[in-house]
Amino acid sequence: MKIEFMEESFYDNSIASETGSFAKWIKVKHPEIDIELPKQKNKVVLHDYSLIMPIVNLAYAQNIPNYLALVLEYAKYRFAGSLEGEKNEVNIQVDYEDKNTGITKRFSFKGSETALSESIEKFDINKFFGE
Amino acid sequence: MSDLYFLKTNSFEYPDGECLSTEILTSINRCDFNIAINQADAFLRKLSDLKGSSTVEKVKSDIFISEQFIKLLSYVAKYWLAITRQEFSNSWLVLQDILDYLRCIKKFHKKRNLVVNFIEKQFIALESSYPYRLFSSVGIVVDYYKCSVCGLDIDSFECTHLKGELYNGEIAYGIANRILHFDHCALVENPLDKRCAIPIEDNSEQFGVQKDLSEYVNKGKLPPFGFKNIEIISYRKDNPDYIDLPRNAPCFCGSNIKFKKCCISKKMIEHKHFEFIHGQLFA
Repeated sequence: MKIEFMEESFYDNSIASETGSFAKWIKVKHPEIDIELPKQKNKVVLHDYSLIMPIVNLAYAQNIPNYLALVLEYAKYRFAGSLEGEKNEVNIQVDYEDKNTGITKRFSFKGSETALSESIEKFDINKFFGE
Repeated sequence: MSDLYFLKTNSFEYPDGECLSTEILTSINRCDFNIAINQADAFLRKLSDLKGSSTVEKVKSDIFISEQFIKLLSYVAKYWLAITRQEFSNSWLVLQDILDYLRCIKKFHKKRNLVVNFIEKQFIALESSYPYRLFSSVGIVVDYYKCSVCGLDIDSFECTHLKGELYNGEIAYGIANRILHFDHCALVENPLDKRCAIPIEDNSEQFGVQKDLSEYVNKGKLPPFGFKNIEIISYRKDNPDYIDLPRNAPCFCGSNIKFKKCCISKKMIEHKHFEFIHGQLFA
């Protein structure tokens, strides 16, 4: 799997503050994953308790469920030590550009770790392309 | 040795840990809060000396966990001190420090512990009894984050430290190097830091539960470790301010709006009753 981390055009092409931590964690835990990071970018940080993941671009749409599973594993790591009843929400945005048609599709998710886990199980690639 | 009232870690065992920790907890429960703070400070100085003299990373990290536990007890004493002095806004800030210490201990110490479990349950319940519901949350753009351990850009691969992990008995933090742009400030329900609450004066009626708690503790009716949970019971009761007026008369609340368009439906109001559920830390 190759993950390309994207800039946030809304915030003067900065990158999400979670980008560096996530990329380093991938390097340690999943060195087989190829990552591409924009160089020397400012960091945009939103003081929200939810885990705001950077926007990523995947070369193959088939990798979306794998990417979501990766984020779920990362979320469990990041939320380690959470107190009873805390809302551990995750915010994900994944872009995929169809090289043949040039059309970019975006998969967005915002919800709890449990909802993310369910979303991975239910993810239907054909439905994603059909929408 | 029993580890009921102290944390037992794998690489570090303080000989009097259980005894000293019990002394601090006992002082808190007797409402000798300043004594408890001094006892915790003295213990923390000993732990700091031990950490400074150790050269083994694992031992240093285990001492760090013990330090977090004693700091937790110290902040519990500070919390009750603020409550008994009716410094309710300040007690909210101390409560958030307590929750942060609990998160830190739970992250690095996976074994269950009686004191940690008790304080977690009690302080989550206490948090829910405060009137704060909305918090400010900022959006900022930062140049880069400097690693608190090595000084390099913590997001770069040159820095070998992961944010939030323990290295030689210290957590690696990312310190914002330069704030380039303050983008926005929003009101949110689930902020990163609940200390950023909209302020409420200590004498406000909204601190009713904290005021009751203060009186109970000050009068010796409720020791700090004498309850484990708070049950919130919501019910509707008569509104004591309600005046039945002709529909087109100005409303009794002083809004200058017609009664029918203002408080006509507020004959009954929702009331919350907070019940302190008995529970003892000490058997």
